[in-house]
Amino acid sequence: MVKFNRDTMAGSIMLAFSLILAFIITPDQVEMHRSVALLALSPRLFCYITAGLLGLTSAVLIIASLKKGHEADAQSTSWEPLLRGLFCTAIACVYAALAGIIGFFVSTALAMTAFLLYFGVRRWVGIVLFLIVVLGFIYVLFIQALKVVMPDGLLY
Amino acid sequence: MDNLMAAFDMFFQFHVIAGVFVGVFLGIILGSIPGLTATMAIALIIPMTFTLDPVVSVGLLVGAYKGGNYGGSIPAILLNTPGTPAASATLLDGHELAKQGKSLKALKMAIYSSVMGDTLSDMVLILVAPPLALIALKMGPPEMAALIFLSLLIITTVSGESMIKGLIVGAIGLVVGTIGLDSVTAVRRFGFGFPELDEGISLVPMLIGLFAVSEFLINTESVGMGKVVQFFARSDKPEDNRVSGKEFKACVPPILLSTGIGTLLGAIPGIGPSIAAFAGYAQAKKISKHPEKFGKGALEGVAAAEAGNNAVCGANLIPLLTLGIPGDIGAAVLLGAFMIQGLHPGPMLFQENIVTVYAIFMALMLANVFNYFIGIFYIRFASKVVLIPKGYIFPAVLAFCFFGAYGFNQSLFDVWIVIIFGLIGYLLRRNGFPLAPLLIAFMLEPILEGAFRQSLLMSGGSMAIFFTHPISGAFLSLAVVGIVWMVIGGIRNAKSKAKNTLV
Repeated sequence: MVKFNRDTMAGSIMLAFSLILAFIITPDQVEMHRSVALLALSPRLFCYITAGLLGLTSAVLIIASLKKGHEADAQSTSWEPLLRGLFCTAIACVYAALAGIIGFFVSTALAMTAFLLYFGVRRWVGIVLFLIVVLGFIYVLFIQALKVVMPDGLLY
Repeated sequence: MDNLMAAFDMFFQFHVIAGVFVGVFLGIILGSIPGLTATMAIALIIPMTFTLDPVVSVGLLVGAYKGGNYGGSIPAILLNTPGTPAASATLLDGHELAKQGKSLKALKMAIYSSVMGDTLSDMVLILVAPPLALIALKMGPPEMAALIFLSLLIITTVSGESMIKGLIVGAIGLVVGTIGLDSVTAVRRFGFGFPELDEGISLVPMLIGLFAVSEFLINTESVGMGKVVQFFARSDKPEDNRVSGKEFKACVPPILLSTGIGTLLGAIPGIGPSIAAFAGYAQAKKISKHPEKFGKGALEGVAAAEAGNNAVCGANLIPLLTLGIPGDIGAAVLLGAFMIQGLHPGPMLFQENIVTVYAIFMALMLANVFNYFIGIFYIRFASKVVLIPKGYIFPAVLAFCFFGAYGFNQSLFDVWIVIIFGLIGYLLRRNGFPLAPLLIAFMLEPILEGAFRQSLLMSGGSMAIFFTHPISGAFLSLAVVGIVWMVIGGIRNAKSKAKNTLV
């Protein structure tokens, strides 16, 4: 079990992000035209305002969570649920990556099989029937009805 | 009158009525499955509306919104698990009735009160919206900027359990909203070399990621740790399976009270159906002749909770249609759907698309009728649907999410947006941050920034313009008063907690 003050950590991450956004990302990613004389015309104005708002509110969260002190420090949590969520996110990323390589339907079938097994479904008949029904419905809806053009892939 | 007749012609066509019917049907089914909220239902249905006529797609989505809100009461009553957050108040008495074998009585009362609350609230919307839109037309950029600032302040501070976290998430929404080409100078902002980001983050993939994929990821945490769900059989006695005239008459006062509360709260941006449901429930308990029965199977409790949470649906559309300000997640999703169809909610909607507005009002009323008939039919076998294992539902949901996101722009980039925002939504929810302020702030950012910069241009860069215009000054004063009040309230709460700890 890992003990940490979640709110302080979250606030610190947000504060760090707001500072990076204001001092590094915005000057790098938002060009400033020399011809822009009026503040209102500056494309960076609102970026700085929103970064400032984020920084200010994050600082308030940090202060509030530090004031809660021991009550907040008593929060303890296991990493296991988070790791499960991140693992499933990784599978979703592989699914998206494969969609453009082997085809959307094939990658969907593989991903759904993986998730069905992950969620505890063990009956192969159920899995196959489920894939046929769901993929069939998706085909009818998106390909036939909505005329969506799927990305090119090695398979389908 | 000509506009009304044109709206009748536009609305009373088979495909439009079918759209509303299908929307309500899907909304009730998806809302009744634990884990699939009404918002998720709308997010999954939006991709299906891309090629549809505006009135059909709005009818479909409005139907899904209303159906989903009612559908959430079904697992709340049967399984003690609300299908939508707004149904949390319904289970207090609804599940107790189910334990007594009176689940069908509770489900019927839920549908009666939902439809009544929804219909009355829609009538308020129809009466109030047009004159309010006329007032809104007189608002200039400073007034608009101040109003949106005040709305965002309310929405971010009342959503979720922590005011500060709501403000942080609102700020994140504003940051995300700045991505894309600047509307004034056409300078690329935060493109990171991706031309797909020139038009900003696409709403539909972001919505699907934030609400549907994050829900999927939250549910992956509890695999193998499933809550044991107990399902209670129905009684055979006829009086336990119907609502008698006397019982219905006793529920009318709490329904009307709760509807009033829900309508009033729903018209204020940020106050969602959950708060309205609990507020209505609490007030109904106060006026009841038998308050001791609340929490133990009081039919009035079910009636009040459902009337309150459904009354928000219509009222929520008041700030949306007249000012373009969504009041909660459902309204925000509808705003996105309107924009996809080329409709721009706000005061100009009533000038430029009044026929479509009247058709939307008709869709709202018809959705209530369908909600009743489909609900009455569906509750008889709802018990089969609510017990579908999560293991089958969530993989299918993810597949629909990815196809739906891809289908929007036929771009795999949007699928990655879904995953990124799904992860962001998941991490935020795990740490107690609400998601609604992020979406609403993101959607309001272009209007807020546009109005703010226009105001500065009008004043030559002086911020005083926001205080010299009376309406704008009034909104900002309310905002300042609100902030001071919240800070004082927070300090008082902290002091009282510290005092209780010492004692």
